[in-house]
Amino acid sequence: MKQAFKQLNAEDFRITEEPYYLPIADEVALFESAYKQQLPVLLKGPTGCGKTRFIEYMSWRLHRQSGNHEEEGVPLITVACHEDLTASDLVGRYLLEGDDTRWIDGPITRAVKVGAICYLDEIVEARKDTTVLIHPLADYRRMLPMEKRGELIEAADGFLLVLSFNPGYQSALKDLKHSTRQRFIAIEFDYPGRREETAIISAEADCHAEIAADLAKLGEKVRHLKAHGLAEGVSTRLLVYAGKLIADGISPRRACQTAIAQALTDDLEIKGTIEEVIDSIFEE
Amino acid sequence: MSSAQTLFDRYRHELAHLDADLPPVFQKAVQNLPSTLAASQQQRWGEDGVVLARTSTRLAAAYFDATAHLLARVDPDVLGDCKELALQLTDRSPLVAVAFLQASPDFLSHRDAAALQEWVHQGGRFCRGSWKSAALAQLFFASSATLMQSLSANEFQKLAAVILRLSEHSMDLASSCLGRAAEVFASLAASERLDFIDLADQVVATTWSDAWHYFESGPELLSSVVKDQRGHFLQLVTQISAADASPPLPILSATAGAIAEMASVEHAELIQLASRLASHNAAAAVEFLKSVLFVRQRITREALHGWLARGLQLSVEGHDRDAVAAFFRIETAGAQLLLGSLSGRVEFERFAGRLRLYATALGGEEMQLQSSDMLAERNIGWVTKDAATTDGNTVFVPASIDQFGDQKANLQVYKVCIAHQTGRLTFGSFRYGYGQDGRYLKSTVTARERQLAKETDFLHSPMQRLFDLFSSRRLIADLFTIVEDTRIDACVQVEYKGLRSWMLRLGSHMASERPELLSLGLREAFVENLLRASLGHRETVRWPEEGIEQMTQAVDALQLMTRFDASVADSVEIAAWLFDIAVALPNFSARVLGNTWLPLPQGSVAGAIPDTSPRVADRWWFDEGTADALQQPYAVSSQPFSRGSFKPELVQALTSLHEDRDSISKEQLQQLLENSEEIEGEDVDIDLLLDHIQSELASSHDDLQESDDDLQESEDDLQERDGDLREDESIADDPLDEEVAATIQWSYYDEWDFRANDYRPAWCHVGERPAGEGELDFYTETLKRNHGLIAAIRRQFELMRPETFRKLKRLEDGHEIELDQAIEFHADRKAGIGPLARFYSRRDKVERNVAVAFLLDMSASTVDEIYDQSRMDPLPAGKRIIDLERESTVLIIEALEAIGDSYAIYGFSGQGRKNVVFQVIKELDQEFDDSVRKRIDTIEPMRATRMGAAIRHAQAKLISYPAKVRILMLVSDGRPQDQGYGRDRTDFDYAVHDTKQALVEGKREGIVPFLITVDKQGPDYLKEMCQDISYTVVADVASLPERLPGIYRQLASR
Ligand SMILES: Nc1ncnc2c1ncn2[C@@H]1O[C@H](COP(=O)(O)OP(=O)(O)OP(=O)(O)O)[C@@H](O)[C@H]1O
Ligand SMILES: [Mg+2]
Repeated sequence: MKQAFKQLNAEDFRITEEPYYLPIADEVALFESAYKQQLPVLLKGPTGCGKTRFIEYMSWRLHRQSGNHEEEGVPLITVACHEDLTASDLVGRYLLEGDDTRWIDGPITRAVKVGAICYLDEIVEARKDTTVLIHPLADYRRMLPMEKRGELIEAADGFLLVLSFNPGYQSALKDLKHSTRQRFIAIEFDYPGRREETAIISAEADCHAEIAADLAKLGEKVRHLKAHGLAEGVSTRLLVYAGKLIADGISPRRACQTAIAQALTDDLEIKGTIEEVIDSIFEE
Repeated sequence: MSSAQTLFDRYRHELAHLDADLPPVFQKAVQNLPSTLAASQQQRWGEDGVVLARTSTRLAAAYFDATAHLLARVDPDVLGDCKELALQLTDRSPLVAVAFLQASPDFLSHRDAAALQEWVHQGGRFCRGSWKSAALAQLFFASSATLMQSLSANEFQKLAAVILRLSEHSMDLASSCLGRAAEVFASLAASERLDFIDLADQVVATTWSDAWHYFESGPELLSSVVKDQRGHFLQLVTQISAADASPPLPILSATAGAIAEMASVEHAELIQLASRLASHNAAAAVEFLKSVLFVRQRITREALHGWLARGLQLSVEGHDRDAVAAFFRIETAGAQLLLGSLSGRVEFERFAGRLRLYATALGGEEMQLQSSDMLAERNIGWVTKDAATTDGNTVFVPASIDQFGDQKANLQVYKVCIAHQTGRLTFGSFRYGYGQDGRYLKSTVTARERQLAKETDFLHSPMQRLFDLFSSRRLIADLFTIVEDTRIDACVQVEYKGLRSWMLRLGSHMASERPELLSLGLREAFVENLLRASLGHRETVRWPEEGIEQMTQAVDALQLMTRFDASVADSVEIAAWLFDIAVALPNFSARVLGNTWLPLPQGSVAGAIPDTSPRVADRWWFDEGTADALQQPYAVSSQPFSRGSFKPELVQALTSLHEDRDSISKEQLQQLLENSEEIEGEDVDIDLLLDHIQSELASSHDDLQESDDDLQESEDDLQERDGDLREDESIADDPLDEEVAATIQWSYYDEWDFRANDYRPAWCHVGERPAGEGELDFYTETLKRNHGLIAAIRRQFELMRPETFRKLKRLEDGHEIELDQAIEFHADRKAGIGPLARFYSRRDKVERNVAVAFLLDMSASTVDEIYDQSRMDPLPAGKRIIDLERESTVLIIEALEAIGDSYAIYGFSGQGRKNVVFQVIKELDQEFDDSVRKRIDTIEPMRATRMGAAIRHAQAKLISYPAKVRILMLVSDGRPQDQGYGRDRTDFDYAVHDTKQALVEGKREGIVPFLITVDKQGPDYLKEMCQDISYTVVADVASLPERLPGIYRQLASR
């Protein structure tokens, strides 16, 4: 029976088509330089501002540049961190097979072996003892200790550790240890300016340029409310969602209500204000 | 002649015998007898006279005197009737009879003889034997004729009955009223008289002593009601009074006063509505009229019917009469709610939270929004209270808007105002640089300077320098305002398309309220035309046929401003160009010339770049001599309220004052203000104003020397007070006090002086003490009152608990085996790596290990009541910020108990650096018990807010408590402030910097600070204070108890 889904080994995942990414500042140059010199990277920024997209884009870009590499190029291995993530989940574990056991590499190990970019998304979610595991990988040693196998693997040349982190959460319990933090160069991301965001929305949502401009404007206005009770400003992602709804024929006001006002907050006053701003920007 | 002589001779002797004075009177009467009188009639007449004279000679004299007059009106038989009636009256009082005879001729000129009998009968009834009653009866007869000039027979009769009734209570009052009556009725219209008498009757029936007041003030009160409704109104009052037998006069004066406030076109309707109501509930009708002004200010005429209908319905449903009256007094929640829903008027205060957020969204985080009366109160150069404007930092909008009939529309008007005013800021109205080129037009500033042969003062703000170039500041300011507002409106319409339709609607509304062109001077009319065009109503422009081309060019020049990328410098150039045209126009009333005023022909397309080459007509279409002779001074054009006053030169000056206090000298400021048009007109005391501004903005021009003095002074103050304190302590012979004093533990903290960039060592003395214990009731009451909310909060917090009871995995020992781990262990062992057997798990209470300290601001300002009357559902009157802090404390405690975090609750206040009061309501390691509950009751406003010291102390306590995560939550109602906490009372910077420093110190120690303020001005200084510290502004204070647990949950969740 034909499988309805595609299944890949993580290290075989490569981005073959150019992802759409609009550089906002000098992040591309910075990342390239870091990659060349094997400096681990921390991507800081609020949710939905393009961190994941950026890393996908960089992976594609670096792959294309490294023309001399054989087919593998620079794969991208992404791990979404959560609080139950154990060291075995990252490094690998033995499996029972009949009477025997078989070793299975975890994502980090694979990345280390093939020289991939290893992207640990939302690193603050991971347990602190898990985070420590990456320390030797993230300094000059570039080593992964595999306790269970009693081995130490040196990372292949193309390997790079990249973390993402959203400093916006106002939680006291979520912060990175300094010894972790200080192993990475940190590239700061923020929501793009109005002009850039317009370009992103119109490219991503495939909507009319004027609609994209209005959505970007709305984004800017809504973000002004951040200190006044909105936990996070509206993400580019949500603006893109709104653009998609509009491109599909939903009326702009309604689209923004669902994709932005309702999505952002349950606070009546703020929601009401956002809706008023929506009504001010979009005609009936 | 002979027959007359015979008549005279016949009775002369008898009459002379009775009274020597009678014959001459008789003779005169005889001579005046008409010749038509038959001899027999003459005879009877003479005999009658004698009969009367026998009773009373004065009576006879009166009879003789009246004879000729009577005969001129009635036939001779009536004379006999009169004699008979007079004789009847004489039985009661001869004087009254005399009065009757004297008044009778006049009476008969209004009525016929048949009425005599009744009249006498009426008059006679007044006589009740006393002298006073006789006097009243005389007055009755004497005034009858005059009264009859204005009263019908029926009315007259009724009035007489009223007076008679009154006389039963007081003769004096009755005669006063009667004496006044003629005048009263003469002043009333015919249609009102009967109603007036009816009401008089009601007055006498209920409160006779008011009768005189009624006659005295009634007509005056009545005159406030529109003419054709006065009768109905009187009937209404009678109806109301009769229903409850309540005194009519107070009703009359209250309702008449209320109706007087209303537009006369509405009187008929109001009276009709009120009488409908009165037939159900009379008292309610009075209340209805008394509150109708208030109601109508809020709802339309049509909606008023709905309002009344609701009240009527209450009545019909059988609600208590008082309850219905209370409804119309707008004292019931239902009434207020209904009023709110029927009302179109929108008050700023009621929607302030929402509107502020809106302004923030549009204008950015720094944007402030206030109602315009605040600005006028600040007295720094703006005087209009009801127009929108901005001073460069804050947008001001009218305190209420009532432009349209429904609230929704009026809220939109607010939005349009906010969009326009924030537009001035975001689209750069104040960013003009002197001599700057526009995007489309080159600057003509240098050319103008050359022409003037003088240079402008470069110390002035750019806008002021620009204005200095023109011969009339008023004119250039007006023109610039119009041009720039056109630009801003255009920008706003592009930026906020959704507002466009509302802007157009409002624009039409505003355009319809413009002054009549022909009532203006020519120059004013020119400016007015530009304004109309700027409001989007070019079609309402009119101009004399002969000059139409020029007007068209001028109006079309505004088109440039509709380009989205036109800049303020473009506006300046257009305004300057228009100025040259306008200033050449003499400002005479052009009506005199009788030109034909025409609308403009089709104009140029939107966005066209105008030709701004110099354009002054060489030939005028009017006689220049005449025009000059008729010149009148140019009056500033009135701006529509939504745009409001625009003072770019003042804003620029204020902005630079804000940035650098020394940027403008006192003299310059003075000149600036003197130049400000509105002020010129308003005749404001410049010195006073300057003082104001100095204290408002420039806070202190003083150098450091002075400020040190200040500090010194306040220190001295403190020392003095300290001395007092010590004294207090020493004389405290009450053992309780001693005990309290003994429980104070002093700690000393440095304070940060940002100017010195250094600490002042051990500067603040913080006295920690346990808070006093109050009653338990507050706590339990709050629990009861909020039990729904508390249940919800507890549930939310318990949801965080699973983490505290989290399954601990990878343990060597535990209650359960984790399958995944066990397999892994098994595989590992097989592979020969013999790992630790960590595959047990346990459900265990893991210490969340969070310690949080709540630090509550107990400064005096927390006494502020949050009740504001514009709220439709007022909070329980007298609720203060501190009460909400207390209530919040109860809720947060309930939450924290549910989650199990360690927490402390502290309050702080104090006065001066040596007496910072730090009260412990609950310690971190203390169990929550009744004594804590009781202490919450004693949280009360005290004095000042030396925030830095209190924060340092709370942090010190947190640090010494073993916990992994330490949180400091500061709940305050405003900026830090204390004696000597800054150079002087206006220096907030010092306090803000110290507070920030204290927080940074804590952060360095791993404490997570979080600030909650209920101060609407919060964003102002919090931004400064909290650069990388989290804070939130709870704009709606009343929601603090509800919000606080949520904020904590977000902060401390994982
Ligand atoms: N600079 C950019 N170029 C192209 N697309 C962008 C850019 N920035 C944001 N986007 C759009 O925003 C969306 C969200 O971005 P992305 O998923 O990368 O956010 P993120 O920063 O990873 O968010 P999170 O922290 O929530 O994972 C993307 O799908 C993309 O459409
Ligand atoms: Mg992502």
